[in-house]
Amino acid sequence: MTQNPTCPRCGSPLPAATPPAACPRCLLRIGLDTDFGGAPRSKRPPPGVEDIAREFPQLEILELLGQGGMGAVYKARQKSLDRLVALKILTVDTATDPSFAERFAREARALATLDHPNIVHVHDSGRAGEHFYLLMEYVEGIDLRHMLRAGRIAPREGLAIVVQICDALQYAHDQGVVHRDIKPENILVDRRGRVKIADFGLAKIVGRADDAFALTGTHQAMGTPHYMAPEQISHPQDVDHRADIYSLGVVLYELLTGELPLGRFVPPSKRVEVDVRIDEVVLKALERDLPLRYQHASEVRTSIDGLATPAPASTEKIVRHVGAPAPKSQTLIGLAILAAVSLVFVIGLTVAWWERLEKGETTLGRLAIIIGPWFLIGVCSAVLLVVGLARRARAASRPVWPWFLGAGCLAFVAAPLGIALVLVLYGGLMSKNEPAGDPRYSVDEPERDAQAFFKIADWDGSGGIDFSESERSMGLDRESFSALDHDNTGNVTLKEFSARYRDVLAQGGVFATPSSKPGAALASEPAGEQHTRFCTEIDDATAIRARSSRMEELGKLARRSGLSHHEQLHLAEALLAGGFFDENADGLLALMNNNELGPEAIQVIRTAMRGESPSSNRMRVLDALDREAPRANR
Amino acid sequence: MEPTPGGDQAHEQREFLTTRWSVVRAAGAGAGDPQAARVALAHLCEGYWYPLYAFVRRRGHSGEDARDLTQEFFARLLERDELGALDPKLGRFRAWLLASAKHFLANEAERARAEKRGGGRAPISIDAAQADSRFALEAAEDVSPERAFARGWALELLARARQGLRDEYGARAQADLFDALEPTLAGSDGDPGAEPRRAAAERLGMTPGAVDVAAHRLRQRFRERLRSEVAGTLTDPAEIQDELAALFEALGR
Repeated sequence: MTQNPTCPRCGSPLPAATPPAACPRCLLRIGLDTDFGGAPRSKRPPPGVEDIAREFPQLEILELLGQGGMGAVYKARQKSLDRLVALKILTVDTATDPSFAERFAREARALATLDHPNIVHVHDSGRAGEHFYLLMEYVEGIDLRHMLRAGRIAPREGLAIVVQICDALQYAHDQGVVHRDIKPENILVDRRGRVKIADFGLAKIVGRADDAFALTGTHQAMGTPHYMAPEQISHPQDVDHRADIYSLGVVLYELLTGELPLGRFVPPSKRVEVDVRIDEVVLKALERDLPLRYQHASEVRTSIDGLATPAPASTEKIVRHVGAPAPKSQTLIGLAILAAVSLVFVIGLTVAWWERLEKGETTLGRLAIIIGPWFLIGVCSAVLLVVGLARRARAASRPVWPWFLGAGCLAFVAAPLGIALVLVLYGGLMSKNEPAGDPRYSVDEPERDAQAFFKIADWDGSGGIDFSESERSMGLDRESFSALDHDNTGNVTLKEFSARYRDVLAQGGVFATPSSKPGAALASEPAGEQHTRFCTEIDDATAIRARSSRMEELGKLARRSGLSHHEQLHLAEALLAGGFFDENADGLLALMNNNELGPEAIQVIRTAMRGESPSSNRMRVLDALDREAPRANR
Repeated sequence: MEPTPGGDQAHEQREFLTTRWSVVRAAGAGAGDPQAARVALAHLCEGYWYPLYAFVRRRGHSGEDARDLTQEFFARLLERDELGALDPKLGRFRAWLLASAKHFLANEAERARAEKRGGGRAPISIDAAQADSRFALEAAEDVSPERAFARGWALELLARARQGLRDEYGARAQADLFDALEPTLAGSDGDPGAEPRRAAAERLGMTPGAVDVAAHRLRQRFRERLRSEVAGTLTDPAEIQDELAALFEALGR
């Protein structure tokens, strides 16, 4: 004979020589278990969404939220009021329970009178076709069972939840309604952290007249009425509101310790850091003797309020902590597509345009402003996607860490990459804008611009340009020239040119004709276009672009060889008039290297260099002049 | 599926009308046939002698004494016309039997031991060897006589329900199915680690789904049989739950 064998399932002692499979206590429980269908529950699916939609034309049935022993709950939209509602369909066989309809009507009326912020409100009830239904407030949130599964709830937060349950119970008890089935599955917490108790009094409706525990939640193990007061099992017909207080005690214990108060349970204060006086509250709520138990839910609240671990005013944090329900597949698929499209788009563009981006071409520089944020959108949606998948994994009690690891890796790689990319793209844009910081550019640019142009056009240095000269140097056609030549002398002076410069150029067509003649490169189409814009918009940025573009053209001219002394002189003056930048210094040097400079040009450059502040460019130009000088003197 | 509360109750009610204890009770109340009541009581006592025996043993009597006392008690019970003296508060056969036995034992103690017990009559058959070995096996723990009585009672109920169910399966030539599925009986329907079910599926060559359905059916029938066994010892079907809860409690630590 073995010594005191115990049942592996229920832990009760087994009579000797009894195989564990035949533990009498477990077997007896089969008889005790009133939640026992005539067929396996899975064999009878809840009514489909279509079936329900037919019965309830006033509702738009959205989805099946869940099902349990007592029926199924659907999420629906009430068309008339455009609000979300929860539709609970009770599974009953009225043929075998003729008193059901009457009991349902009576109890549902009582439930509809309950109006409390912590109680799920019953909007409507009745019978549609063969279904008895309750139309209830839709609570967007999660139930305590899920919260408990998601992780330990801090004692303070647990107490905050219990305090709200107390309020709701006290209110309902004052109205003469007993819940009879308080358990974590029936306690919801909405997105704002508000506790909402569901299924008030349903036990009485669905349960038999002689015993109250004929229901089950989807999660509750069958026939283990852990949350029921002892009297609910032994004298179900005499149950009063104090049964709810017992159940509340079980919930309180479970919230604090994560376990059920079974057998000789450990006081909560031994398990978690909480005021020892909570033990007394738990024990008094779980008192088997009715007169010794708390008589009112409000007393439980008062006791909790008096603890050294006060409940926080709000439970919002818990919801945030535990998280809203896992996102739907559609959301995740949407995020995945967004992430993929964004990343492919951005990476594709970057690869295709890499060279041009590096050169900082201005159109692309602008595009970079779009590409950068787009890349960030892609990365963000990818991270959201991974986090969403992790939350779904947690909701399904699958391990979460691979997802968070994935999200971490993604963020680790993508964040620096994204920042670098954005910097490169913006760098490309900014490099083009560099001259904007140069103080030597002033607002009166048009005047200086005009001067420089005029000098180039005035090849003979006569102080005026005639039509043939202007056409040769700038591709200025007759019509445009006439517009400048107001006095019809056939000659345009600098004064006229400067004064009319803007207007004429604004009319278009000026500098429009490409020409192969020296200096005509200045008048090539892009330059003309840019000048037009510059003139019409008087925009610093465009002015700078116009200037730099012109300098480029001057630089090209300077690289030609065989320029006449006259041309040399004008080119040098034009370059110097544009300001002594690197490009212009390079232009001057190129001019000196490619041509044997005439004395006039040397003179102009030397004079200009005297006024320049010392710089490496100045030194280079002066060195080149020194090399030129012997030749000039020769 | 939702239990069909009313249906179940109605079913129990119907079955209950013919239970022996209610017949006995009816006779006790002056209505009904005393002869039929006597037969019914004899049948009941036949079924529940062991818990009483365990109770008597727990009171400190030796095996032989306990057997004799039990026999004597039943003999008196059936011989005398005590049915009319039934306390209406003792609505349950179990409670009534226990109260009667206590009363009997108290009187018996004062009685001369020399008197020949039972008058040579053996109204019910007690298998001495079985009684002793069973008591020895179950007496491992130190429990009160009342507790021992309740436990014995619960085991008796279970054994009867099981035997009835096995006979039922046997009548359909499904005794092997019953034997294979019996180990699954105590586990709950949604038991995740349902090792016995896998074993049963293998043994019977059935799919796990089919085994689940069969096991569920077995549990359901067992439940019905158990409840009807319990109902047979009660006057009010509403007390089934209560009685089961009390026995459930008695089987605990």
